[in-house]
Formats: sequence, structure tokens, C-alpha cells
Amino acid sequence: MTKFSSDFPVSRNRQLKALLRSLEEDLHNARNTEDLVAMVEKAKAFGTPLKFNNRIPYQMAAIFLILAGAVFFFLHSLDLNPVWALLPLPGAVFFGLWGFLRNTKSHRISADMFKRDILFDNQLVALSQDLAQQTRSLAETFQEFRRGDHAREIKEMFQGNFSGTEHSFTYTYYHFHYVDKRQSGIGSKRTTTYEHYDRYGLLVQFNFARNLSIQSFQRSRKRTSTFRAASNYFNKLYSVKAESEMDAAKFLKPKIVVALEDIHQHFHRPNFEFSSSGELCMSFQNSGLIQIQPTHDLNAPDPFIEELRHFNELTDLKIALEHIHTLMKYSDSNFQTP
Amino acid sequence: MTDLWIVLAVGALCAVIILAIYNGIIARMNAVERAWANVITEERQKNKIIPTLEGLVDQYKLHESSVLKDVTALRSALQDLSSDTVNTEHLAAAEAKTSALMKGLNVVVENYPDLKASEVFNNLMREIAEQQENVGAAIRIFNQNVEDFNNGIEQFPNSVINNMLNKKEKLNTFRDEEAESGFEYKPNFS
Repeated sequence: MTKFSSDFPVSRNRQLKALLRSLEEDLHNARNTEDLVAMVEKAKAFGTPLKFNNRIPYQMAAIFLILAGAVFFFLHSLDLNPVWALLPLPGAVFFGLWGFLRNTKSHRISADMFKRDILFDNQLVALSQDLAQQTRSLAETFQEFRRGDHAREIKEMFQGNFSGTEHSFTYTYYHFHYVDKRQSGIGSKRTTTYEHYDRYGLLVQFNFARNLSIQSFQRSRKRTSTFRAASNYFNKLYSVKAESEMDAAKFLKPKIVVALEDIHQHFHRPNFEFSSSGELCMSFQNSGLIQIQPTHDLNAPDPFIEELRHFNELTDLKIALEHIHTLMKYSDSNFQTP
Repeated sequence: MTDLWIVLAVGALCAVIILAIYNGIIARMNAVERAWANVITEERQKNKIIPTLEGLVDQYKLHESSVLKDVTALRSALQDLSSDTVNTEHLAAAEAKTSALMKGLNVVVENYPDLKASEVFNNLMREIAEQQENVGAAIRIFNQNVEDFNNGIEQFPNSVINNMLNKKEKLNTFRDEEAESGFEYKPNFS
């Protein structure tokens, strides 16, 4: 690793700032893992660690702190209110934070690079279309997106493809955030609180079931079902609502019931909604489907390159997709038997 | 007067608890019966593929093979199944006949490349495999419900209510004896 001299902090800091800006641009334009590797090589050529020399901001913070102390003792010795000693403190906080935060930037870029690499590895594409419009449109189709009496929004969406043994499909992964407004107390003691929640899920074209919902997490606390499966355990986990009992019975074959029991062990509060137009929304509370914590960053270029080149499989996402494939496999028709 | 009300309230509470346990045992028994009916329904789904199988036997002239004999044996085993009474032996017999048919088909198909490559045959094999998996899943559900029922009559205080009122006996889960014979270990359940 190249050590940089603290004798020329300003010049080095300026170069580092330019490098980080250039890396951000490169990240924006990256199209594959090799583009990301080129970014790491660029950082390596610059010299690591990618840390700003914070001598000046930290000295400034110290000066403000000393000033605050001096003012305090001066006012105290004169029996005056020492509250004015607080005045220099924001300056100390500002310089301290500035120094600290700018040194976390390389970590943030590394994390973003790794996330982008995960998307490349798993052939996921970020959807940047009008997410507010998407939220409204999905709320018309699925109950899942009608949660939140104060606010609701889709924070991010990714699209990918899955190829199974019998079915291949395009899927959209989403992160949905909603806010419930709660009011408690009476009169002047009335308080309003905003409760924030997150749900995650997958949207898939599903042609083998319609107008059916299988829910383990309902909007209302009262569980209502229009169909009960043969399994006591399944009935404890889920409530089923269907337009016709026959449709629910046809879809909930034993293998599907068992698969839904098993997926409940893996995903927290899973729901399955089949729309009237043949789309499936599988939703749950698990947040880390497209997350893997990187072990290295730009400050350790060679191991970071190795980590980027390694195929980072999203195992939880794979489990969810294989589960959807199982639902398809056991609800399709292999052929029309006479 | 207050004492009387307390005695009445405790009595009413006990009656409600006894009623809930009594009904719970009945509900669990009904769930076992329904799960069993489900197993039989899934097993009988095999009746649907038999005509397709017979069609293939005719089309590819498999008369000299054991396939036709296995099909007849399976059909007969399926007829013995009853969804009204829990008889795991008949189910085991039908499962054994399905296994024999599958084994026979896999041997025969090696001598008939056209059959092996045909779409109908491949769809049929996929259908049989899925049916078998559905039967397996239905058996798992049945066994889960049996466990639930057995817990419901053996755990205290349910055991007391069952001995006094319901008088139900512990049920056996479905066991695959063919698979069990592969293990030296035998659990010593009492």
C-alpha cells in the first residue's frame, strides 16, 4: 500500500476528492463486473488507503473546543452565565463531522459497487420508471399495496429472469414502504405518531390461478377465510380467500399446501395474491433478498477485486423464485388426460 | 350470595373449557378424516392416467412386457381404497403397485427409443411423478393431522376429557415399510 505524506495534505485531499467523484461517475456508467474491477484498479493506482488527511478539520474542531472551554472558565470566573460557552460548539461539531464523514465516502462507494455487482451477477436491472405511478397502479391490483393510511411508496424495483426446469418467467423485485398514522389521547393531550413499515416482494405473471389470496399477514387483525385446506398446520399459518371455493381447492393441491407450509419457515409473514388478470404478488417482511455484506472495500483492492469477480448468488431470492416455480409446476396441466 | 355467584361462575367456566376440549377433539378427528380422504383422492388421480398408459401399450405394442399386468394390478389396488375408513395397508399396497409400474415402465422404455422420445410418454412420466409427489404431500398432511389429533387426546387435561367423554383412541401415522426396511435402526416408541 502506498503511504501518502501528510506534508501535502491539501494537494492529496484535492486529488482524492477528484478520484472519488470520478469513481462515482464510473459507477453510474458501469455496465458489467469488469467496469467495476477497472474502478478498483484506478483506486489502487491512486494509492490506498483512500483517506483524507483530516489534520486541518480536526485542528479546527480542537480550536473551537478549546475556545468553548476558555469562554466557560472566563465567564465562570466572572460569575456570569456560562451558557455563552456553548456558542463555539457547533463549529467543533461541524469540523469534526466533516472530517469524519468524508472519510466514509470510499466505504459508501465500495458498498454501492458491490450492490451493483450483485445486480450484474444475478442479471437484475434496476427499474427507474415512475415509481409513484407504479405504486398507485399496483394498489389497484393488489391489496398488499393498499397498506398505509398516511403514505405509501415503492422505494426500489429490480427486474430479472428465472429459468426453472419447467417454467421460465420474468420477475420484478420491489421494496414497499408505508406509513400508518396513529392518534392517541384526547383533547390537548392528543398525540399523533407515524409508524413506518417495510414490505418486500416479487411480482410475476402467473397463469394458473386467479382471484385468490393466501395470507399470513393481513391488514386487519381478524382472520377471515373462505376456504380451509385439509392441513391443520396450514390453516394455522394462512387464511385463504377465493372467489370460488372450487378454485381454491383446485389450486391448493397437497404439494402446494406443503410448499406453502415450508416457505413460511423461511420467509416472515408471507402473502400470496393472485390477481384477476393472472399476476402473482408474493410479499414478505424479509429485507435482505438482494443484499450480501461485502468483506472488503476499495481500501483492500486485490481482495475486493476477487470478491467482485466471484459469483455472488442471492440465495434467499433463489429460494423465493424456486418456490414460485413450484407453485407453477404443480398448478399447471401436463396434458389433458382423457 | 356472592359465594354462590363465584361457584356458578367457576362451574360455567369449567363447562366452557370442557366443551371447548370436547369439540376440539372432534374437530381434530374430522381433520384427520378429511386429510385421509385427500390422500385417497390423490391416489385415485392415478385412474386418470391409466387410459393414456393403455393407449401407449397399444400404440407401441408393449403387450409382451409386464406393463399391462402392472396397470391391471394398480387399477385393482386403487379400487380397494376407501376414503371412509382409514386403512393404511391398502394405501401402502397401491403405492407398491405404482412403484412396480414405474420400475417396469423404466425398464421397458429402454427397448423402445420412439416411446422414450414421445411427448405423450414424457408428459405422462411427469404427470405420474407429480401425482406421486402430491400423494407424498397428502400423506405428510395426514400424518401432521394425526400428530395433532394424538396430542389433542393425550395431553393433559384433554386426556381426562377424552377418557370420560370422547373415548377416542390414538391413531397410527402412515409409515412407508419399504423405506423403513432399508434402515437397521428401529425406534423404540412405547
